[in-house]
Amino acid sequence: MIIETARFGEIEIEENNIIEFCSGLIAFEDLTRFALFDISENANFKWLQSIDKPQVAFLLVDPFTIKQDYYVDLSDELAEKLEVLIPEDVIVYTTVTVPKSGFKDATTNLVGPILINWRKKKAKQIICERENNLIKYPLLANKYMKLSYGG
Amino acid sequence: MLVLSRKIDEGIIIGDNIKIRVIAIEGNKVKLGIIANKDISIVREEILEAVKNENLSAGQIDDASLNWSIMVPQPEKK
Repeated sequence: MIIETARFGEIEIEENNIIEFCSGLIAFEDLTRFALFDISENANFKWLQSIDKPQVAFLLVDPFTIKQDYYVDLSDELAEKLEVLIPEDVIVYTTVTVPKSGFKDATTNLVGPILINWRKKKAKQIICERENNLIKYPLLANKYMKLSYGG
Repeated sequence: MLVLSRKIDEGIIIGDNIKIRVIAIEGNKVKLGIIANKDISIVREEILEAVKNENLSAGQIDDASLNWSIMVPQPEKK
C-alpha cells in the first residue's frame, strides 16, 4: 500500500510491515497504525511514521546506545498484550525531541519507551518511571553518538 | 468530580477490582495504597502529562538538519 507522509512524500510499504499500537501513543491515542523505517545514514535511529496522519512522525533511537544501564521491565500483562513469546521478540525505542535550537540539543524520553514486538508487529508505549530516567535525556551526552551523528 | 472524605486506614473501592486506601498523612502529603489487577496501569498524573507533552513535541520535528533519508523495509523472506 502507498502511504502519505509529510516529510518523505508518498512511500510504498508492505502491509505486513504495519505496526499496530495498542491504545496508541500517549497523546496520539487515535493513531494506531504506524510504519517503522530505517535511516540509511544512521543505524541507531528509526523513523516511526503514522499511517493515518501524514504529519505525525517520530524520530526514534535505541536507548541502550544512549544510556548503557537503561532497562525496561516487561510485565507478564504487557507481554501478553504484545503477544510476546520470548524477550528477544521485543525491541525498545525512545522518542527523540529536537528543539528549535537544533539537533545538537536533542533529547530522548527515557520515561516513555516504546516496546515493539517486531515478530507480531504490535507495539505499546509504556511509562517507565525510575530514578535517573529523564524525560529529556540529552542525546549527545554520549561520546559514541557524537561520533556516529553525521547529519 | 466526586469528592469523598477519608481518614487514615479508610479506603474507597472503584468498580469491582480497584481498592484505594489512605495509608498515612504527613503534612500536605498523602500516602495511598492501591490494590488493582496488574493489567491496570497506575501512574502519577504529572508523569503521564509530561510524557504526553514530550510526545506532542517529539511528533512534530521540523529541524531542517534532519534530512536523513529513510530506507523502506523489504518484505521478510518466507
